[in-house]
Amino acid sequence: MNLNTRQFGELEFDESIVYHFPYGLLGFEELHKFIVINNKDIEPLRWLLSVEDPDIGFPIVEIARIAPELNKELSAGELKSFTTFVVVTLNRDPEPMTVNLRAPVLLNNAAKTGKQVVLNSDKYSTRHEIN
Amino acid sequence: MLVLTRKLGEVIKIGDKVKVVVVSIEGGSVKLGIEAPEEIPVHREEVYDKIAAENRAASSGFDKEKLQSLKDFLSKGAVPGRTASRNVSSRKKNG
Repeated sequence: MNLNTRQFGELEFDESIVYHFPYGLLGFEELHKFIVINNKDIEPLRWLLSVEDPDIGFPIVEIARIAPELNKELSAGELKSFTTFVVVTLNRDPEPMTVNLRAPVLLNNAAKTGKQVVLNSDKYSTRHEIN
Repeated sequence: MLVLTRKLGEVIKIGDKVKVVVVSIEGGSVKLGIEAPEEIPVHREEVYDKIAAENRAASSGFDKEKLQSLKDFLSKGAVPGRTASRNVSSRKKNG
């Protein structure tokens, strides 16, 4: 497959790397197919990029790297099957970068499926400042 | 909008797959139990709106400086909201 992207130029990839999000992400329910861009330039971020609309991409970072205690809010089954991420909002200066702790994104690398879950507890902010 | 009156324990069916039960009524709050198949996600509206708005904000562009500040932040071994543990781990590193 080929994808022309604003941020990463022309990408060529095999369909086997595409994650299927049956219910999309909140507010983006119409988007079901994503690839994860993982390269040195953007490390430790990864980019969850829509295959259907390559202008739409979400910076994500592994929960284990940035807020490990958040994994305790997820079920044992989820932790077993999925790698867990939070969505990062880079924000315009001078606003600091924030992470959305309330709605983690889960990726199942083996099954190539993904979902965004909403935590019940409102102690987790959608805009948690990280610097 | 369809408006229906229900008593405690009574149910509303939406289609043949969604059920809404009145679980309790206390003060100004009504507790509802909702049964819906996985393909019909159920959210509190204000929480849904907040997350959808945040997703929209996150889906925009890429910023090298911000990325660098994230790298710096992570290299400190920090966990957001846990300033204390950050200090401890950096002390350890310095011996």
